Amino acid sequence: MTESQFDERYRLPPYRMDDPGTRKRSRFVADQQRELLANLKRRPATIAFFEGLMDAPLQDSSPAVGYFCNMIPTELVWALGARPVRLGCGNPALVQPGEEALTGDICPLAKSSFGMFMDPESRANKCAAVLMPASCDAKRKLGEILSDYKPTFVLNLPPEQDAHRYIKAATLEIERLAGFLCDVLGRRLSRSRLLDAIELSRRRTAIVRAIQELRARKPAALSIRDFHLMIQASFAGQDPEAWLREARRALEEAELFEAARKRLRPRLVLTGAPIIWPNFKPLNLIEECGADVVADTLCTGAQSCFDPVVYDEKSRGALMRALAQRYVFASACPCFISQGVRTSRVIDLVEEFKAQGVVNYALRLCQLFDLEAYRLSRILKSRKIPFANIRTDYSLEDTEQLRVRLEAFLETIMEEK
Amino acid sequence: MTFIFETLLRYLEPFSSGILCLAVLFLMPLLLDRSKPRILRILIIPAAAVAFWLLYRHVAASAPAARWLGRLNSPLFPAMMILVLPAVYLSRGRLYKLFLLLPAAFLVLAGLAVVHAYRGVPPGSGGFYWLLIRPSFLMAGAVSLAVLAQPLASLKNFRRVVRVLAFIVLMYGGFMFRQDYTDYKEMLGRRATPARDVMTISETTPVVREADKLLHLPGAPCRFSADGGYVQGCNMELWQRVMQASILKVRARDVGETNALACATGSVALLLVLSFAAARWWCGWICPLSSMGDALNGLRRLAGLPHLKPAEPVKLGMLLSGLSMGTLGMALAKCYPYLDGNGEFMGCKIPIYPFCKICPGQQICPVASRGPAGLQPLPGWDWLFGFFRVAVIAMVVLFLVSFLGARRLWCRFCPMGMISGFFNRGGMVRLRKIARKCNHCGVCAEVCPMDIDTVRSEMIDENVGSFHCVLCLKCVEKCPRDGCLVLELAGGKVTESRFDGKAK
Repeated sequence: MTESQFDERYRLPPYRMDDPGTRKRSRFVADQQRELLANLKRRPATIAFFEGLMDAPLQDSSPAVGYFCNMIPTELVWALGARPVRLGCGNPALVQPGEEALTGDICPLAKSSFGMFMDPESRANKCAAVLMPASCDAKRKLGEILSDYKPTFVLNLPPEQDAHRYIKAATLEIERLAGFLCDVLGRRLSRSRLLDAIELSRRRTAIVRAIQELRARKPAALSIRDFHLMIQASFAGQDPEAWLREARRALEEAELFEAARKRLRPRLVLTGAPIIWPNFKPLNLIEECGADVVADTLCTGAQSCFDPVVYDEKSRGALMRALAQRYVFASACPCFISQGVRTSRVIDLVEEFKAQGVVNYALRLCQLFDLEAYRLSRILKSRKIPFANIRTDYSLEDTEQLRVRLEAFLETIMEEK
Repeated sequence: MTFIFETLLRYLEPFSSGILCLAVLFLMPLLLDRSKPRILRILIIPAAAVAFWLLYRHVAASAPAARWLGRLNSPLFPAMMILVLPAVYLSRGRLYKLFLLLPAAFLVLAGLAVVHAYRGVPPGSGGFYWLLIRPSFLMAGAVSLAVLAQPLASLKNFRRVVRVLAFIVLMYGGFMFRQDYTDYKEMLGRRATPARDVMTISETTPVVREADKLLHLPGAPCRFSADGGYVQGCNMELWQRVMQASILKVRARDVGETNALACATGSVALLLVLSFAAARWWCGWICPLSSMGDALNGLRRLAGLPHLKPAEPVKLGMLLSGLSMGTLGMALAKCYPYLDGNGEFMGCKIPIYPFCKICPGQQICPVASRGPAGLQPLPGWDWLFGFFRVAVIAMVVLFLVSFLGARRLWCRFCPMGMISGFFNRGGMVRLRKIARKCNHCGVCAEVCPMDIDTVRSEMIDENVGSFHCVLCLKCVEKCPRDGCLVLELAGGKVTESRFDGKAK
């Protein structure tokens, strides 16, 4: 048995809040977003499938393992016969209960995620374990709090993305995570099943890349909101083969789309903090203002599936290293001392997809993304790339304010063009 | 038929010149520069070729000049210019499909050449002589095969195709691809005479053998492959030849010695052209020793064992010992003119190709190409007081261990590769990294069989070639970001990293 990361002497009984009102409010928020999306002009016929995945109940056929962030090697979970469920929560209705229990001064993502754990009927509480990278202070401490609810593993990350210096440490951490999962699930990790799982996620990467490439050519073929919905549906812990099949169908359908004439909507690259279903507020705003997001670097968007796990040798150690390389060193998360991946990715996307501007979504109370926006804006401005920063949280209070700002930004872009 | 082939070969001879190949490579950036007028870009190479052809025919009218020009010819160059360069630069469209007719035609031509050579077999002595084929046709045929295979194969499999083709030609070419029937018979005759003592053997007879001329290749096409191998040997063999030349005899106008030195000089010039054109790419794609080593490496991978990651001092140690072994071999080769009838100099018995005697190629290549019958006797204890016996065993063990356990650690030792390594930066090939596309995942460093970290860590300088890089393109093959790593030849893109693993 791997040693627990948490102090066993101070275990607490989980604090629950069985409130039907909150549950109802959170369902209402999701339904509202669904209605907004239903008004989209073009949607793939299979989109109902993806929408259905977002709140489909977890089947009991195999255990579910909850995880946060884009730095948990979900391949390990698949390889052990369990299903990874991404728990990072975007539901504004759950912010308040989380805030009441914890504090107001942490980011809404952490608060609403904890709010989800407090509800005994939520999918978070159906998971056999929770995995969480120590990617920010909120996550680090939330891990300890959640360890009262579920067997929890907090994945330590190196402070720098220097593979030469930290690859050994990062690989050891991944090994430790694998050990934890094996213990919790009572299974042994087999190399061939890990290879199958890697292959599975590579297939998802291929489809996501194909859709992104298609959207670069004709963004009107598929709304960015539907694209993100599809991607996030693949984190919902449902049958991956079904997801792949439906995503391929959606891609084929979008491929057939031909715009009547060239649309001259501004093309934007979206970067910044995660945008999680059902809080698609920034995406709604951008599309409603008449711009297209042609590419993004969000860890809940295309970036989450963009980089595949690459292996050459098939020994266990080499596979673990390959996981560390993909999930730690190729990560675009601002939690590292220096984050060149995201900056160069944004610059590259602007060039490759001929975008006219960059929008940064800074989630209020996330210091990491907020601070990075300062340098990012100066770097982009020095390269003559228009940049706008949207700082907001899950609430809808500032929607109109943001809309005015965005419209002004889009106007300046179109003038420059 | 004979007439057609002879005429073809005679008129195409200028196109097999290394000088023309070099000129074409130098003109290539001009052709690829889209800012230049289109007509200039299209005409520049044909104009240069025609001009060179006329000049060549004119100069070759004088016999000594023709001899020197002939030394700079190689059957590789026509194949390289007519097949490889277009295959590298043409974009993959309809035009390319049209172009593929050319290699197909060359294959047919090579087939016809074989049929033609079999017609030359005197009646009544019918039998199987493998493929009797002239070197230029064989090279064109082999290159055509590779060009035709490329669109079908991923980068990984394409490399395999090239390596297998090169391996067959260089290891088994000695008996498989003899020039014609008489050449084949002569080869059989040499085979019948019992092998001379391994320490005094002076000449092997490769297939590519013309009067006044030698052909060496970078990488390790060993002359000790079965029946003399296909070409004269590797560049270390050539440097030994240069060292062996006695300056005193040349000064005394000894005809034989001068001629030998001239042949070697011509081959050096050729070798420099080849190294300049492709640097250590020869190590990564052609070298038969490393192909065998990779097979050993494959055994380890099959067993699922991890490879050793040698520490920096080990890598440096390999480099230094390779350098010192090479230097020692060269220094001992210098003794050749002073050897007495007993093979001794100052009371020390020294073989005439001292470096070959410690190179594992001499032990491994004969066995690989002829089976157990090719096993070479070990040097006796009297050869330079046992040094050669100990060194050769140590080298073979080092070769096997480093390829079995540490991927291509051996190639950090290899002095042959070091010489091409000087051309890795500043030569015609360039490994380029578009750093803004890099996601820092470090896969390039992880898969690099030479254990080079430059490709991963370099973020400022676009040129990420380094001395030890063998251009195996494993990093390009595995890089998950499309277009992040690019291989360039003469300023034009050859291939780039792609998620789907395709070569082009």
